Amino acid sequence: MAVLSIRDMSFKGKLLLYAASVTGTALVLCCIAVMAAEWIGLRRELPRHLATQAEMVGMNASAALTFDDREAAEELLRGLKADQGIILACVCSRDTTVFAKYVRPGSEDATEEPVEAGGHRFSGNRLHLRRAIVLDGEEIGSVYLQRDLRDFYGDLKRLAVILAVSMLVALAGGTAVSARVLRVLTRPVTELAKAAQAVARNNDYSVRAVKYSTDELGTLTGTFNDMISQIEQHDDALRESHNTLEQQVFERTAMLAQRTRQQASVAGLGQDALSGVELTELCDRACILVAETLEVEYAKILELLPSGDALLLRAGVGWSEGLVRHAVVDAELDSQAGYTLIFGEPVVVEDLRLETRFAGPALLRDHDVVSGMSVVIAGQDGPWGVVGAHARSRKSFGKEDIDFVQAVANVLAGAIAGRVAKDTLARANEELETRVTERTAELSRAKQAAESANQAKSEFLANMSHEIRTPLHGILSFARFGKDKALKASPEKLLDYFQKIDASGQRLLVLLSDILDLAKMESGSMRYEFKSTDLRAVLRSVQNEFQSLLADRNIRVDFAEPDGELRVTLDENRMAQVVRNLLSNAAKFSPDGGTVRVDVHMDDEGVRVSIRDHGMGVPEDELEAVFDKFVQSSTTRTGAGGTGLGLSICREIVESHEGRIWCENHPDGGAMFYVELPPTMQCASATTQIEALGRTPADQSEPSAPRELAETVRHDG
Amino acid sequence: MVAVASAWLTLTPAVCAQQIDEAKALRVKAAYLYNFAKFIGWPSDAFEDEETPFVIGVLGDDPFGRSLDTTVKAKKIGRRPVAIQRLRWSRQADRAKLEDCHVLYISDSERHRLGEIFAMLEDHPVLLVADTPDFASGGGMIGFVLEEQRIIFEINREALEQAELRASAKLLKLAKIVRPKSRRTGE
Repeated sequence: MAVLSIRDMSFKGKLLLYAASVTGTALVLCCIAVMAAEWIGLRRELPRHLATQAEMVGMNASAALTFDDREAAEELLRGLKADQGIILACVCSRDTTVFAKYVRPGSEDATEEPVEAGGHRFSGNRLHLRRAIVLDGEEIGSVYLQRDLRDFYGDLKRLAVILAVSMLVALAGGTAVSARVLRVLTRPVTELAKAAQAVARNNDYSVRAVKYSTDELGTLTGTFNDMISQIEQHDDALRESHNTLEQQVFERTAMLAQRTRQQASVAGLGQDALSGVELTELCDRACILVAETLEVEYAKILELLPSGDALLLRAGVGWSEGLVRHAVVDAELDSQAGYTLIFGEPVVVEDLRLETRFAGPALLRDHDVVSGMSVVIAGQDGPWGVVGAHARSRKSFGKEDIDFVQAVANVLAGAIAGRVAKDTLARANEELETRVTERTAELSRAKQAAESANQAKSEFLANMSHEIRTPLHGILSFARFGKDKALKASPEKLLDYFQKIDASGQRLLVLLSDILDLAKMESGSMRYEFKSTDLRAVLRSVQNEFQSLLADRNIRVDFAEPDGELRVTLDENRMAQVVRNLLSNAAKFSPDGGTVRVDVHMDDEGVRVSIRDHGMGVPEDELEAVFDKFVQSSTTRTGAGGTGLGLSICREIVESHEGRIWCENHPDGGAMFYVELPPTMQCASATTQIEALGRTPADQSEPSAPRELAETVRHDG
Repeated sequence: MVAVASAWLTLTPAVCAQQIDEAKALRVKAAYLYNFAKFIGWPSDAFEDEETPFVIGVLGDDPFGRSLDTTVKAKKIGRRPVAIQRLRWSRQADRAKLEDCHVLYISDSERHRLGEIFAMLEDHPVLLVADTPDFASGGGMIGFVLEEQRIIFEINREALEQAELRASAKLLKLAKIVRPKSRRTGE
């Protein structure tokens, strides 16, 4: 608290306290020093003084002691009465026995205390001292003195009181003098503080502190005054800048309001564009908007013509009659529009007459244009055109103005892009429609194909049922004949019946076999057993088979057997089936007594077997169709008969051998069927080939029951 | 001997008064003879040099006996040894030595020739001491007197001054100062 209160004291108070404390401390120290010096001095001086007295007494008492004159000694001692401090004095003989004694009246209680000769001792308020009495070099006794120190202490006390009083007086005087001196020191400070307070309280910077001297305080006051002046100046400057700022804010607000208006206009234009206003109308409105908003005489929209070297005045305001939609400006660096277009950035012209970037925009010069600006309208692939605003008087365009015109240009660009997008959409629609039509046609074709295929199948099925029914009907009929007439008919007749039943059965079996084979091939489960085989043997075996079969029709199979083996990798049974089929076909179309010619040719490219008959041949348009399933040559239908599956099966088998089968008409008449097989292929690779064709090992190892049955039946037959 | 003297000095006056006898009185007197030397100043020509013995002479019948010798034995006055000389007037040689004494005790036996002695030693710095009554006032210098059982001494300051001997104020203060009755007694 004390520290606080000192801290809060006035500057003057603090200085005064400081001076007083320094003076006080110095005085106290001085007093202590004086007292100490006095004390030490007296303590040293007293024994010396007392010793002198003792020595005098001793000297005087020597004779009395020598001659045993007690009275004389006592009288001598009584001489000490003058010194009021001495309360006990003794003259002692050599063995310290008291010879003569003096006691100050009133101090009878004082007793002698032992002190060695030549020494002294302080005890309480007393000083004891003993000095030897020496006579002619011989110690004959001693003098003992005892002094009361109370007077000495009393003196010290008095001194202390005097010092204390003096000190207080000095302190008071010193403080008084300090106060006077300090007033000189603190007055400028107080004045300064007052001035500062006045400034702070009233914000009155005209206040100045009075300067009393030229010392540091004077300098401080001067500096303070200077500082206040500066603050005053700064205050004025601040006020001024505040006013300027307000003005700027006002201007800025007005600008923002204008900006808002411009944005509203652009938004309106955008609205128009969205609501589908025609581009021309939109351009006209944009020009009016630009001219009104920027308060310029001319506004224009130029469109880059497809040629790319000229701009058409698409819309405008203020231009001479007949120019809008007709005038053309060069898309070169000469014109402002061209310049803008090429550089792709907004161009502002302060004064066209001083312009150096482009040479001579005739349109602008004709209309006495002075200032102007132009921005690019972006298009799909590069600039679409230019928007421009021009004034006849000098006018400067700010960033806001550029932004505004750019916004208008962007709205237009958006509208244009929208129109382009619409066109693109229409084109895409058209394309799509075409494609749909095409697809529909395709589908209808496919449908027709499917329908015709279905038709063929139905026909085939009808044919098939007829074909199956025919031999079955034969079998049943002759069997019934046999049963009815078994007892009546002749054995020849019965044999004939059986033969007929057998023939019909055979035919039915072949038919069913073919159907089964085809079904198997179609489902991909036909099993082939490829191995290196002599093709001649196969041909010869089938030839022999047919030789006897065709003997009744007198048809001859002529096989031009080559020399040596014809090693070909093939499935012997299947290839035999092919040859059998072709021979059977050839025989079927050969007239009785005709010849079927079989030729074999072999070279590096493979082996080719040709079988020629001398029948009516195959109509040209059916040369390929005969190999189709369920299709029979028109000639076959007319008379020859058959399942219509044989050639289909042949083609399946040959193609499974990676071979080729086709039909030609011989120039000399008759049909020629060719089978071409590739050169010898390895069994292993053949098997791999089959697997590659999608037949699983299970398909190969597990022959289907119908096929087995058919084989068995045929062999039995 | 000092111890004996000291022992005596410590005696209370009452004891002293009762027990004082001739022998003790003689011992005190012997000590006094020696102690006078400390309180009397001799002229410088009384000694040849600083170490010249201090001579105490006894003229006539010696009453002290050995006690005087024991008193001064091994004592010195300043740097001077103390010598005792016993002299006889009858011997011519002894008479000649009288002048060389510094302190001369004149025994009571010589009281009848005091005039002669005084005359002989006139102007010589010899301290004359005797037991004889009225010795000091009769022309001597220091005379022992028994007073109230105490031995005190009378001093004749004129005689001392005549012999150029200076008595210490301290000594004078203790002594009984007497004036000479006459300059010389002719007895």
